[in-house]
Amino acid sequence: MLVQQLFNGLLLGATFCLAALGFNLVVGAMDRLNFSLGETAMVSAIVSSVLLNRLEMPFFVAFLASLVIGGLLSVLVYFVSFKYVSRDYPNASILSSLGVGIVLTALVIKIFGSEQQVIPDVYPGTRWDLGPIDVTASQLVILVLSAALTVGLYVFLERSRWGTAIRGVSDDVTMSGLLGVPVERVVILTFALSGMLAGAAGLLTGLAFHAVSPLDGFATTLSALIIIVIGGLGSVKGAVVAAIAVGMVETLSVVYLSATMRDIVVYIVVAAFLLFRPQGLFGRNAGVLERV
Amino acid sequence: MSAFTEAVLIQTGINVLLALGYWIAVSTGKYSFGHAAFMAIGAYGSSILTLKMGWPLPLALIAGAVVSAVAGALVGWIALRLSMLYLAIITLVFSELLITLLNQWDYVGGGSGLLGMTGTTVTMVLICVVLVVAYLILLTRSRMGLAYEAIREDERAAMGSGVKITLVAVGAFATSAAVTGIAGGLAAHQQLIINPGLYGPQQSLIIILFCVFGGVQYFWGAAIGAIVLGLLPIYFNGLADWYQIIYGLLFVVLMIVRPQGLIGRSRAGIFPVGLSLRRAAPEPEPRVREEESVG
Repeated sequence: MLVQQLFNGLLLGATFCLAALGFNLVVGAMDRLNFSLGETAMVSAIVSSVLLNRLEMPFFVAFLASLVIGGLLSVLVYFVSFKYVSRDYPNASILSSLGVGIVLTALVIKIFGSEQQVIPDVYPGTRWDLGPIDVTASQLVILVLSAALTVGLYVFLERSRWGTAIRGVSDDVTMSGLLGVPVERVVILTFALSGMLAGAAGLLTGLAFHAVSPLDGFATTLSALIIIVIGGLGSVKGAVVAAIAVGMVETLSVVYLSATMRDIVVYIVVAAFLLFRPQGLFGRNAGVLERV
Repeated sequence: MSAFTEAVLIQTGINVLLALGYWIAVSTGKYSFGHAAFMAIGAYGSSILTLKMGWPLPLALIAGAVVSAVAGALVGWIALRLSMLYLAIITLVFSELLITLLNQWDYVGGGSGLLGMTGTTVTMVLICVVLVVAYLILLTRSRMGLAYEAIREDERAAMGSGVKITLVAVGAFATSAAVTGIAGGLAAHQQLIINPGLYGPQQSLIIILFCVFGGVQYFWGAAIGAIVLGLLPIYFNGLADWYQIIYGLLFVVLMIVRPQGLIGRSRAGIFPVGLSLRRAAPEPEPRVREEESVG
Protein backbone atom coordinates (compact mmCIF):
# COMPACT_ATOMS: atom_id res chain seq x y z
CA MET A 1 0.00 0.00 0.00
CA LEU A 2 2.63 2.51 1.08
CA VAL A 3 4.98 1.47 -1.71
CA GLN A 4 2.17 1.76 -4.25
CA GLN A 5 1.35 5.25 -2.97
CA LEU A 6 5.00 6.30 -3.12
CA PHE A 7 5.06 5.07 -6.70
CA ASN A 8 1.96 7.14 -7.51
CA GLY A 9 3.66 10.12 -5.91
CA LEU A 10 6.71 9.51 -8.06
CA LEU A 11 4.51 9.58 -11.18
CA LEU A 12 2.85 12.82 -10.14
CA GLY A 13 6.25 14.28 -9.33
CA ALA A 14 7.63 13.24 -12.70
CA THR A 15 5.03 15.29 -14.56
CA PHE A 16 5.41 18.27 -12.17
CA CYS A 17 9.11 18.10 -12.77
CA LEU A 18 8.78 18.70 -16.51
CA ALA A 19 6.70 21.84 -16.02
CA ALA A 20 9.04 23.15 -13.34
CA LEU A 21 12.06 22.59 -15.59
CA GLY A 22 10.28 24.58 -18.30
CA PHE A 23 9.91 27.52 -15.92
CA ASN A 24 13.48 27.19 -14.74
CA LEU A 25 14.90 27.34 -18.25
CA VAL A 26 13.16 30.66 -18.91
CA VAL A 27 14.25 32.05 -15.55
CA GLY A 28 17.80 31.16 -16.51
CA ALA A 29 17.62 32.75 -19.92
CA MET A 30 15.73 35.94 -19.13
CA ASP A 31 15.56 36.30 -15.34
CA ARG A 32 11.83 36.53 -15.86
CA LEU A 33 8.98 34.12 -15.30
CA ASN A 34 6.91 33.06 -18.27
CA PHE A 35 3.50 32.85 -16.63
CA SER A 36 1.84 31.42 -19.72
CA LEU A 37 3.65 28.07 -19.55
CA GLY A 38 0.82 26.49 -17.57
CA GLU A 39 -1.64 27.47 -20.29
CA THR A 40 0.84 26.30 -22.95
CA ALA A 41 0.78 22.89 -21.28
CA MET A 42 -3.01 22.95 -21.21
CA VAL A 43 -3.31 23.84 -24.91
CA SER A 44 -0.90 21.04 -25.84
CA ALA A 45 -2.87 18.55 -23.78
CA ILE A 46 -6.24 19.64 -25.22
CA VAL A 47 -5.03 19.46 -28.82
CA SER A 48 -3.43 16.08 -28.14
CA SER A 49 -6.67 14.78 -26.69
CA VAL A 50 -8.49 15.91 -29.82
CA LEU A 51 -5.90 14.06 -31.92
CA LEU A 52 -6.31 10.95 -29.78
CA ASN A 53 -10.10 10.95 -29.55
CA ARG A 54 -11.46 12.44 -32.76
CA LEU A 55 -8.70 11.54 -35.21
CA GLU A 56 -7.73 8.34 -33.36
CA MET A 57 -4.04 8.95 -33.75
CA PRO A 58 -1.61 6.68 -31.93
CA PHE A 59 -0.25 7.99 -28.65
CA PHE A 60 3.25 8.76 -29.86
CA VAL A 61 1.89 11.06 -32.59
CA ALA A 62 -0.08 12.95 -29.95
CA PHE A 63 3.03 13.13 -27.80
CA LEU A 64 5.10 14.55 -30.64
CA ALA A 65 2.28 16.99 -31.37
CA SER A 66 2.28 18.13 -27.75
CA LEU A 67 6.01 18.81 -27.95
CA VAL A 68 5.69 20.75 -31.20
CA ILE A 69 2.68 22.80 -30.07
CA GLY A 70 4.29 23.58 -26.74
CA GLY A 71 7.53 24.66 -28.38
CA LEU A 72 5.82 26.84 -30.99
CA LEU A 73 3.54 28.53 -28.46
CA SER A 74 6.44 29.23 -26.17
CA VAL A 75 8.49 30.81 -28.98
CA LEU A 76 5.44 32.89 -29.87
CA VAL A 77 5.25 34.03 -26.24
CA TYR A 78 8.92 34.95 -26.41
CA PHE A 79 8.26 37.36 -29.26
CA VAL A 80 5.01 38.73 -27.89
CA SER A 81 5.86 39.01 -24.21
CA PHE A 82 9.63 39.22 -24.00
CA LYS A 83 11.42 40.37 -27.13
CA TYR A 84 9.29 43.39 -27.93
CA VAL A 85 8.63 44.33 -24.31
CA SER A 86 10.90 46.97 -22.84
CA ARG A 87 13.40 45.60 -20.35
CA ASP A 88 13.21 48.79 -18.31
CA TYR A 89 10.04 47.47 -16.71
CA PRO A 90 10.88 44.28 -14.83
CA ASN A 91 7.23 43.27 -14.43
CA ALA A 92 6.10 44.00 -17.97
CA SER A 93 6.97 40.52 -19.26
CA ILE A 94 5.23 38.82 -16.35
CA LEU A 95 2.06 40.83 -16.92
CA SER A 96 2.23 40.28 -20.66
CA SER A 97 2.67 36.52 -20.34
CA LEU A 98 -0.20 36.41 -17.83
CA GLY A 99 -2.26 38.17 -20.49
CA VAL A 100 -1.26 35.55 -23.07
CA GLY A 101 -2.32 32.88 -20.60
CA ILE A 102 -5.76 34.46 -20.18
CA VAL A 103 -6.19 34.69 -23.96
CA LEU A 104 -5.14 31.05 -24.45
CA THR A 105 -7.59 29.80 -21.83
CA ALA A 106 -10.43 31.90 -23.25
CA LEU A 107 -9.68 30.79 -26.81
CA VAL A 108 -9.60 27.10 -25.87
CA ILE A 109 -12.93 27.49 -24.07
CA LYS A 110 -14.37 29.24 -27.14
CA ILE A 111 -13.14 26.56 -29.55
CA PHE A 112 -13.40 23.31 -27.57
CA GLY A 113 -15.88 24.24 -24.84
CA SER A 114 -15.21 24.50 -21.13
CA GLU A 115 -15.78 20.84 -20.26
CA GLN A 116 -12.98 18.38 -19.58
CA GLN A 117 -11.45 16.47 -22.46
CA VAL A 118 -10.74 12.79 -21.97
CA ILE A 119 -7.25 11.45 -22.53
CA PRO A 120 -7.60 7.70 -23.06
CA ASP A 121 -5.24 5.11 -21.58
CA VAL A 122 -2.34 3.82 -23.62
CA TYR A 123 -2.83 0.07 -24.21
CA PRO A 124 -5.87 -0.12 -21.94
CA GLY A 125 -6.02 -3.21 -19.80
CA THR A 126 -2.30 -3.92 -19.84
CA ARG A 127 -0.85 -4.00 -16.34
CA TRP A 128 2.05 -5.64 -14.61
CA ASP A 129 2.15 -6.89 -11.07
CA LEU A 130 5.62 -6.10 -9.74
CA GLY A 131 5.51 -7.39 -6.17
CA PRO A 132 4.27 -4.55 -3.98
CA ILE A 133 3.29 -2.29 -6.89
CA ASP A 134 0.89 -2.52 -9.74
CA VAL A 135 1.87 -0.68 -12.93
CA THR A 136 -0.38 0.13 -15.86
CA ALA A 137 0.95 0.77 -19.35
CA SER A 138 0.01 4.47 -19.07
CA GLN A 139 1.93 4.85 -15.85
CA LEU A 140 4.96 3.22 -17.41
CA VAL A 141 4.71 5.58 -20.40
CA ILE A 142 4.49 8.60 -18.10
CA LEU A 143 7.47 7.50 -16.07
CA VAL A 144 9.66 6.56 -19.03
CA LEU A 145 8.87 9.65 -21.08
CA SER A 146 9.35 12.12 -18.26
CA ALA A 147 12.56 10.44 -17.13
CA ALA A 148 13.81 10.43 -20.72
CA LEU A 149 13.00 14.13 -21.18
CA THR A 150 14.58 15.11 -17.87
CA VAL A 151 17.75 13.09 -18.46
CA GLY A 152 17.83 14.24 -22.08
CA LEU A 153 17.61 17.87 -21.00
CA TYR A 154 20.34 17.38 -18.42
CA VAL A 155 22.69 15.72 -20.93
CA PHE A 156 21.87 18.36 -23.53
CA LEU A 157 22.65 21.20 -21.13
CA GLU A 158 25.81 19.65 -19.74
CA ARG A 159 27.35 17.98 -22.79
CA SER A 160 26.28 19.68 -26.00
CA ARG A 161 27.57 22.89 -27.54
CA TRP A 162 24.13 24.57 -27.60
CA GLY A 163 23.45 23.38 -24.07
CA THR A 164 26.66 25.01 -22.92
CA ALA A 165 25.57 28.19 -24.69
CA ILE A 166 22.24 28.10 -22.82
CA ARG A 167 24.05 27.76 -19.51
CA GLY A 168 26.42 30.52 -20.49
CA VAL A 169 23.61 32.92 -21.35
CA SER A 170 21.88 32.05 -18.10
CA ASP A 171 25.04 32.77 -16.11
CA ASP A 172 26.15 35.99 -17.74
CA VAL A 173 24.48 37.17 -20.87
CA THR A 174 26.83 40.05 -21.63
CA MET A 175 29.93 37.91 -21.34
CA SER A 176 28.40 35.13 -23.46
CA GLY A 177 27.51 37.65 -26.12
CA LEU A 178 31.03 39.08 -26.11
CA LEU A 179 32.46 35.58 -26.49
CA GLY A 180 30.47 35.09 -29.67
CA VAL A 181 27.40 33.21 -28.46
CA PRO A 182 24.42 34.10 -30.68
CA VAL A 183 22.36 35.22 -27.68
CA GLU A 184 19.10 35.79 -29.52
CA ARG A 185 19.08 32.32 -31.08
CA VAL A 186 20.08 30.69 -27.79
CA VAL A 187 17.22 32.44 -26.02
CA ILE A 188 14.74 31.30 -28.68
CA LEU A 189 16.06 27.75 -28.32
CA THR A 190 15.61 28.00 -24.55
CA PHE A 191 12.01 29.11 -24.96
CA ALA A 192 11.34 26.32 -27.44
CA LEU A 193 12.79 23.74 -25.04
CA SER A 194 10.80 25.10 -22.12
CA GLY A 195 7.61 25.02 -24.18
CA MET A 196 8.28 21.44 -25.26
CA LEU A 197 8.75 20.41 -21.65
CA ALA A 198 5.54 22.19 -20.69
CA GLY A 199 3.66 20.57 -23.57
CA ALA A 200 4.85 17.12 -22.55
CA ALA A 201 3.98 17.90 -18.94
CA GLY A 202 0.46 18.86 -19.98
CA LEU A 203 -0.16 15.69 -21.95
CA LEU A 204 1.41 13.36 -19.38
CA THR A 205 -0.47 14.97 -16.48
CA GLY A 206 -3.64 14.58 -18.52
CA LEU A 207 -2.77 10.94 -19.11
CA ALA A 208 -2.21 10.43 -15.38
CA PHE A 209 -5.63 11.87 -14.54
CA HIS A 210 -7.32 10.61 -17.77
CA ALA A 211 -8.64 14.11 -18.39
CA VAL A 212 -7.60 17.68 -19.02
CA SER A 213 -9.64 20.80 -18.37
CA PRO A 214 -9.20 24.19 -20.08
CA LEU A 215 -8.89 25.69 -16.61
CA ASP A 216 -5.89 23.51 -15.66
CA GLY A 217 -3.31 26.06 -16.83
CA PHE A 218 -3.21 28.05 -13.64
CA ALA A 219 -2.89 24.94 -11.45
CA THR A 220 0.07 23.76 -13.53
CA THR A 221 1.74 27.15 -13.17
CA LEU A 222 1.12 27.16 -9.44
CA SER A 223 2.53 23.68 -8.81
CA ALA A 224 5.56 24.43 -10.98
CA LEU A 225 6.23 27.63 -9.04
CA ILE A 226 5.89 25.78 -5.74
CA ILE A 227 8.46 23.25 -6.92
CA ILE A 228 10.79 26.03 -8.03
CA VAL A 229 10.57 27.66 -4.60
CA ILE A 230 11.40 24.38 -2.87
CA GLY A 231 14.03 23.22 -5.33
CA GLY A 232 15.66 26.58 -5.88
CA LEU A 233 15.24 29.04 -8.73
CA GLY A 234 17.13 27.94 -11.82
CA SER A 235 18.33 24.56 -10.53
CA VAL A 236 17.68 21.39 -12.58
CA LYS A 237 18.66 19.07 -9.75
CA GLY A 238 16.51 21.03 -7.31
CA ALA A 239 13.49 20.85 -9.60
CA VAL A 240 13.76 17.06 -9.94
CA VAL A 241 14.16 16.43 -6.22
CA ALA A 242 11.50 18.93 -5.22
CA ALA A 243 9.02 17.69 -7.83
CA ILE A 244 9.30 14.08 -6.66
CA ALA A 245 9.10 15.15 -3.01
CA VAL A 246 6.02 17.32 -3.65
CA GLY A 247 4.38 14.53 -5.68
CA MET A 248 4.90 12.07 -2.84
CA VAL A 249 3.78 14.50 -0.14
CA GLU A 250 0.61 15.22 -2.13
CA THR A 251 -0.28 11.56 -2.68
CA LEU A 252 0.51 10.61 0.90
CA SER A 253 -1.51 13.47 2.35
CA VAL A 254 -4.48 12.50 0.18
CA VAL A 255 -4.27 8.93 1.45
CA TYR A 256 -3.49 9.51 5.10
CA LEU A 257 -5.18 12.87 5.74
CA SER A 258 -7.75 13.96 3.18
CA ALA A 259 -7.98 15.38 -0.31
CA THR A 260 -8.65 18.85 1.06
CA MET A 261 -5.62 18.75 3.33
CA ARG A 262 -3.35 18.08 0.34
CA ASP A 263 -2.98 21.69 -0.76
CA ILE A 264 -2.67 22.97 2.78
CA VAL A 265 0.15 20.56 3.57
CA VAL A 266 2.01 21.64 0.43
CA TYR A 267 1.50 25.33 1.22
CA ILE A 268 2.84 24.81 4.74
CA VAL A 269 5.97 23.17 3.30
CA VAL A 270 6.40 26.10 0.90
CA ALA A 271 5.95 28.65 3.67
CA ALA A 272 8.55 26.86 5.78
CA PHE A 273 11.01 26.94 2.90
CA LEU A 274 10.38 30.62 2.22
CA LEU A 275 10.96 31.47 5.85
CA PHE A 276 13.98 29.33 6.62
CA ARG A 277 15.63 28.51 3.32
CA PRO A 278 14.45 30.98 0.69
CA GLN A 279 17.09 29.94 -1.81
CA GLY A 280 15.54 26.45 -1.89
CA LEU A 281 17.30 23.11 -1.74
CA PHE A 282 19.90 23.67 -4.44
CA GLY A 283 19.21 27.26 -5.44
CA ARG A 284 21.54 30.03 -6.28
CA ASN A 285 21.23 33.16 -4.19
CA ALA A 286 17.54 34.06 -4.05
CA GLY A 287 18.46 37.71 -4.15
CA VAL A 288 18.27 38.10 -0.37
CA LEU A 289 19.20 41.71 0.14
CA GLU A 290 21.52 42.56 2.94
CA ARG A 291 19.60 44.46 5.57
CA VAL A 292 20.69 48.00 6.22
CA MET B 1 -30.46 59.18 -7.79
CA SER B 2 -31.67 55.99 -9.39
CA ALA B 3 -30.63 52.65 -7.98
CA PHE B 4 -28.67 51.93 -11.14
CA THR B 5 -26.63 55.14 -10.97
CA GLU B 6 -26.03 54.48 -7.30
CA ALA B 7 -24.76 50.96 -8.01
CA VAL B 8 -22.51 52.23 -10.79
CA LEU B 9 -21.09 54.95 -8.55
CA ILE B 10 -20.41 52.52 -5.73
CA GLN B 11 -18.81 50.02 -8.11
CA THR B 12 -16.64 52.72 -9.68
CA GLY B 13 -15.60 54.01 -6.27
CA ILE B 14 -14.60 50.52 -5.19
CA ASN B 15 -12.62 50.03 -8.39
CA VAL B 16 -10.81 53.30 -7.77
CA LEU B 17 -10.01 52.21 -4.22
CA LEU B 18 -8.65 48.90 -5.55
CA ALA B 19 -6.46 50.67 -8.08
CA LEU B 20 -5.20 53.22 -5.55
CA GLY B 21 -4.51 50.50 -3.00
CA TYR B 22 -2.55 48.54 -5.54
CA TRP B 23 -0.74 51.68 -6.62
CA ILE B 24 0.69 52.13 -3.10
CA ALA B 25 2.51 48.80 -3.41
CA VAL B 26 3.51 49.47 -6.99
CA SER B 27 4.91 52.90 -6.12
CA THR B 28 7.75 51.05 -4.40
CA GLY B 29 8.15 48.89 -7.50
CA LYS B 30 6.63 45.80 -5.89
CA TYR B 31 4.02 44.04 -7.97
CA SER B 32 1.73 41.65 -6.12
CA PHE B 33 -0.03 38.95 -8.10
CA GLY B 34 -2.49 37.98 -5.43
CA HIS B 35 -3.98 41.23 -4.25
CA ALA B 36 -7.47 39.76 -4.38
CA ALA B 37 -6.45 37.90 -1.22
CA PHE B 38 -6.42 41.18 0.70
CA MET B 39 -9.82 41.99 -0.75
CA ALA B 40 -11.00 38.64 0.56
CA ILE B 41 -9.57 39.32 4.01
CA GLY B 42 -11.30 42.70 4.16
CA ALA B 43 -14.55 41.28 2.81
CA TYR B 44 -14.66 38.27 5.11
CA GLY B 45 -13.34 40.18 8.13
CA SER B 46 -15.92 42.93 7.91
CA SER B 47 -18.75 40.54 6.97
CA ILE B 48 -18.10 38.32 9.98
CA LEU B 49 -18.17 41.39 12.22
CA THR B 50 -21.38 42.86 10.81
CA LEU B 51 -23.26 39.60 10.30
CA LYS B 52 -22.24 37.54 13.30
CA MET B 53 -21.22 40.14 15.86
CA GLY B 54 -23.59 42.94 14.92
CA TRP B 55 -20.90 45.63 14.56
CA PRO B 56 -21.73 48.81 12.64
CA LEU B 57 -20.33 48.73 9.13
CA PRO B 58 -17.72 51.53 9.39
CA LEU B 59 -16.10 49.93 12.44
CA ALA B 60 -16.18 46.53 10.78
CA LEU B 61 -14.52 47.98 7.69
CA ILE B 62 -11.73 49.48 9.74
CA ALA B 63 -11.23 46.20 11.59
CA GLY B 64 -11.13 44.34 8.28
CA ALA B 65 -8.56 46.80 7.01
CA VAL B 66 -6.40 46.26 10.09
CA VAL B 67 -6.48 42.48 9.68
CA SER B 68 -5.68 42.92 6.02
CA ALA B 69 -2.76 45.22 6.83
CA VAL B 70 -1.34 42.68 9.28
CA ALA B 71 -1.59 39.96 6.64
CA GLY B 72 0.00 42.30 4.13
CA ALA B 73 2.86 43.07 6.47
CA LEU B 74 3.40 39.34 7.05
CA VAL B 75 3.41 38.46 3.36
CA GLY B 76 5.51 41.50 2.61
CA TRP B 77 8.03 40.64 5.30
CA ILE B 78 8.44 37.12 3.91
CA ALA B 79 8.54 38.21 0.28
CA LEU B 80 10.26 41.57 0.13
CA ARG B 81 13.57 40.26 1.43
CA LEU B 82 13.76 38.23 -1.77
CA SER B 83 13.94 39.13 -5.42
CA MET B 84 11.01 40.25 -7.56
CA LEU B 85 10.40 36.77 -8.92
CA TYR B 86 9.83 35.47 -5.42
CA LEU B 87 7.39 38.26 -4.64
CA ALA B 88 5.32 37.19 -7.64
CA ILE B 89 5.40 33.55 -6.57
CA ILE B 90 4.70 34.23 -2.90
CA THR B 91 1.74 36.54 -3.47
CA LEU B 92 0.26 34.04 -5.93
CA VAL B 93 0.69 31.14 -3.50
CA PHE B 94 -0.66 33.23 -0.61
CA SER B 95 -3.88 34.02 -2.43
CA GLU B 96 -4.37 30.36 -3.37
CA LEU B 97 -3.70 29.31 0.23
CA LEU B 98 -6.27 31.81 1.48
CA ILE B 99 -8.91 30.58 -0.96
CA THR B 100 -8.24 26.98 0.04
CA LEU B 101 -8.58 27.88 3.72
CA LEU B 102 -11.78 29.88 3.19
CA ASN B 103 -13.25 26.96 1.26
CA GLN B 104 -12.59 24.72 4.26
CA TRP B 105 -13.81 27.08 6.94
CA ASP B 106 -17.40 26.18 7.80
CA TYR B 107 -17.90 29.20 10.07
CA VAL B 108 -17.91 31.43 6.98
CA GLY B 109 -19.95 29.03 4.90
CA GLY B 110 -17.11 27.19 3.15
CA GLY B 111 -17.41 27.15 -0.60
CA SER B 112 -20.88 28.69 -0.69
CA GLY B 113 -19.78 31.72 1.31
CA LEU B 114 -21.62 34.34 3.31
CA LEU B 115 -24.96 35.90 2.50
CA GLY B 116 -26.84 39.02 3.50
CA MET B 117 -24.37 41.86 3.91
CA THR B 118 -25.84 45.27 3.15
CA GLY B 119 -25.13 48.87 4.00
CA THR B 120 -22.59 50.26 1.55
CA THR B 121 -23.72 53.72 0.52
CA VAL B 122 -22.38 56.14 -2.05
CA THR B 123 -21.38 58.55 0.73
CA MET B 124 -19.40 55.87 2.49
CA VAL B 125 -17.49 54.93 -0.68
CA LEU B 126 -16.94 58.60 -1.46
CA ILE B 127 -15.52 59.27 2.02
CA CYS B 128 -13.13 56.34 1.63
CA VAL B 129 -11.96 57.53 -1.79
CA VAL B 130 -11.46 61.08 -0.55
CA LEU B 131 -9.51 59.89 2.49
CA VAL B 132 -7.28 57.65 0.40
CA VAL B 133 -6.69 60.36 -2.21
CA ALA B 134 -5.85 62.86 0.54
CA TYR B 135 -3.44 60.35 2.05
CA LEU B 136 -1.82 59.77 -1.33
CA ILE B 137 -1.45 63.50 -2.03
CA LEU B 138 0.29 63.91 1.32
CA LEU B 139 2.32 60.77 0.76
CA THR B 140 3.63 61.74 -2.65
CA ARG B 141 4.72 65.09 -1.27
CA SER B 142 6.40 63.68 1.82
CA ARG B 143 9.85 62.24 2.46
CA MET B 144 8.20 58.83 2.71
CA GLY B 145 6.89 59.22 -0.83
CA LEU B 146 10.39 60.10 -1.93
CA ALA B 147 11.66 56.96 -0.23
CA TYR B 148 9.06 54.90 -2.12
CA GLU B 149 10.22 56.43 -5.37
CA ALA B 150 13.86 55.84 -4.53
CA ILE B 151 13.18 52.17 -3.87
CA ARG B 152 11.26 51.85 -7.12
CA GLU B 153 14.01 53.46 -9.16
CA ASP B 154 17.03 51.76 -7.66
CA GLU B 155 17.02 49.66 -4.51
CA ARG B 156 20.74 49.65 -4.07
CA ALA B 157 21.05 53.41 -4.39
CA ALA B 158 18.14 53.85 -1.98
CA MET B 159 19.82 51.54 0.50
CA GLY B 160 23.05 53.46 0.08
CA SER B 161 21.26 56.71 0.81
CA GLY B 162 20.07 55.35 4.12
CA VAL B 163 16.54 54.30 3.25
CA LYS B 164 15.54 51.28 5.30
CA ILE B 165 14.22 49.58 2.21
CA THR B 166 12.72 46.42 3.72
CA LEU B 167 10.92 48.39 6.42
CA VAL B 168 9.61 51.02 4.01
CA ALA B 169 8.55 48.47 1.40
CA VAL B 170 6.80 46.29 3.98
CA GLY B 171 5.03 49.41 5.29
CA ALA B 172 3.89 50.28 1.78
CA PHE B 173 2.70 46.73 1.20
CA ALA B 174 0.71 46.72 4.45
CA THR B 175 -0.89 50.09 3.65
CA SER B 176 -1.75 48.80 0.21
CA ALA B 177 -3.31 45.69 1.74
CA ALA B 178 -5.34 47.85 4.14
CA VAL B 179 -6.84 49.98 1.36
CA THR B 180 -7.56 46.87 -0.71
CA GLY B 181 -9.19 45.34 2.37
CA ILE B 182 -11.50 48.33 2.77
CA ALA B 183 -12.45 48.07 -0.89
CA GLY B 184 -13.16 44.37 -0.40
CA GLY B 185 -15.34 45.09 2.64
CA LEU B 186 -17.30 47.78 0.80
CA ALA B 187 -17.77 45.50 -2.20
CA ALA B 188 -18.98 42.66 0.02
CA HIS B 189 -21.59 44.89 1.66
CA GLN B 190 -22.84 46.02 -1.71
CA GLN B 191 -23.10 42.69 -3.49
CA LEU B 192 -24.89 40.86 -0.61
CA ILE B 193 -23.04 37.62 -1.16
CA ILE B 194 -19.39 36.61 -1.08
CA ASN B 195 -17.66 33.31 -1.66
CA PRO B 196 -14.00 32.28 -1.97
CA GLY B 197 -14.29 31.90 -5.75
CA LEU B 198 -14.69 35.67 -6.15
CA TYR B 199 -11.15 36.29 -4.99
CA GLY B 200 -9.27 34.05 -7.38
CA PRO B 201 -6.49 34.92 -9.82
CA GLN B 202 -9.00 36.58 -12.17
CA GLN B 203 -9.79 39.26 -9.62
CA SER B 204 -6.10 39.80 -8.86
CA LEU B 205 -5.41 40.29 -12.54
CA ILE B 206 -8.22 42.79 -12.89
CA ILE B 207 -6.80 44.83 -10.01
CA ILE B 208 -3.40 44.81 -11.70
CA LEU B 209 -4.94 45.80 -15.01
CA PHE B 210 -6.85 48.73 -13.43
CA CYS B 211 -3.61 50.07 -12.07
CA VAL B 212 -1.29 49.31 -14.98
CA PHE B 213 -3.72 50.47 -17.67
CA GLY B 214 -3.88 54.02 -16.39
CA GLY B 215 -0.22 54.21 -15.59
CA VAL B 216 1.71 53.51 -12.43
CA GLN B 217 3.65 56.75 -12.36
CA TYR B 218 0.95 58.92 -10.80
CA PHE B 219 -1.77 57.64 -8.51
CA TRP B 220 -4.45 59.53 -10.42
CA GLY B 221 -3.39 57.63 -13.54
CA ALA B 222 -4.26 54.40 -11.78
CA ALA B 223 -7.57 55.88 -10.64
CA ILE B 224 -8.49 56.96 -14.18
CA GLY B 225 -7.57 53.52 -15.48
CA ALA B 226 -9.90 51.94 -12.92
CA ILE B 227 -12.75 54.28 -13.84
CA VAL B 228 -12.42 53.60 -17.57
CA LEU B 229 -11.94 49.84 -17.34
CA GLY B 230 -14.60 49.52 -14.66
CA LEU B 231 -17.23 51.35 -16.69
CA LEU B 232 -16.59 49.49 -19.96
CA PRO B 233 -18.25 46.19 -18.94
CA ILE B 234 -21.27 48.08 -17.62
CA TYR B 235 -21.96 49.96 -20.84
CA PHE B 236 -20.86 47.27 -23.32
CA ASN B 237 -22.88 44.31 -22.12
CA GLY B 238 -22.87 42.59 -25.50
CA LEU B 239 -19.18 41.84 -25.31
CA ALA B 240 -19.46 39.81 -22.10
CA ASP B 241 -18.23 36.66 -23.82
CA TRP B 242 -15.10 38.37 -25.03
CA TYR B 243 -13.94 40.10 -21.86
CA GLN B 244 -11.32 37.51 -20.96
CA ILE B 245 -9.80 37.79 -24.41
CA ILE B 246 -10.01 41.58 -24.45
CA TYR B 247 -8.41 41.90 -21.02
CA GLY B 248 -5.68 39.44 -21.96
CA LEU B 249 -4.90 41.20 -25.23
CA LEU B 250 -4.96 44.53 -23.41
CA PHE B 251 -2.16 43.31 -21.14
CA VAL B 252 -0.14 42.08 -24.12
CA VAL B 253 -0.56 45.17 -26.29
CA LEU B 254 -0.10 47.59 -23.40
CA MET B 255 3.18 46.00 -22.33
CA ILE B 256 4.60 46.29 -25.85
CA VAL B 257 3.30 49.75 -26.68
CA ARG B 258 3.16 51.57 -23.37
CA PRO B 259 4.51 49.54 -20.45
CA GLN B 260 4.26 52.66 -18.30
CA GLY B 261 0.49 52.81 -18.83
CA LEU B 262 -1.55 55.33 -20.77
CA ILE B 263 -0.60 58.20 -18.48
CA GLY B 264 3.00 58.82 -17.58
CA ARG B 265 6.28 59.30 -19.31
CA SER B 266 8.59 56.62 -20.54
CA ARG B 267 11.38 55.84 -18.15
CA ALA B 268 13.87 56.12 -20.97
CA GLY B 269 12.73 59.70 -21.61
CA ILE B 270 13.03 62.84 -19.55
CA PHE B 271 12.55 62.60 -15.84
CA PRO B 272 9.20 64.25 -15.08
CA VAL B 273 10.59 67.24 -13.25
CA GLY B 274 7.95 69.66 -14.40
CA LEU B 275 5.04 67.50 -13.42
CA SER B 276 6.14 66.52 -9.95
CA LEU B 277 6.58 69.93 -8.40
CA ARG B 278 8.15 68.66 -5.25
CA ARG B 279 11.41 67.78 -6.84
CA ALA B 280 13.46 70.13 -8.94
CA ALA B 281 16.50 67.91 -9.00
CA PRO B 282 18.84 67.96 -11.96
CA GLU B 283 18.14 65.35 -14.57
CA PRO B 284 19.82 62.10 -13.60
CA GLU B 285 22.06 60.43 -16.12
CA PRO B 286 20.46 57.51 -17.92
CA ARG B 287 21.34 54.40 -16.01
CA VAL B 288 22.42 51.14 -17.53
CA ARG B 289 21.58 48.22 -15.32
CA GLU B 290 23.96 45.38 -15.69
CA GLU B 291 21.34 42.65 -15.46
CA GLU B 292 19.22 44.15 -18.19
CA SER B 293 21.38 43.90 -21.22
CA VAL B 294 20.27 40.73 -22.95
CA GLY B 295 20.27 41.09 -26.72
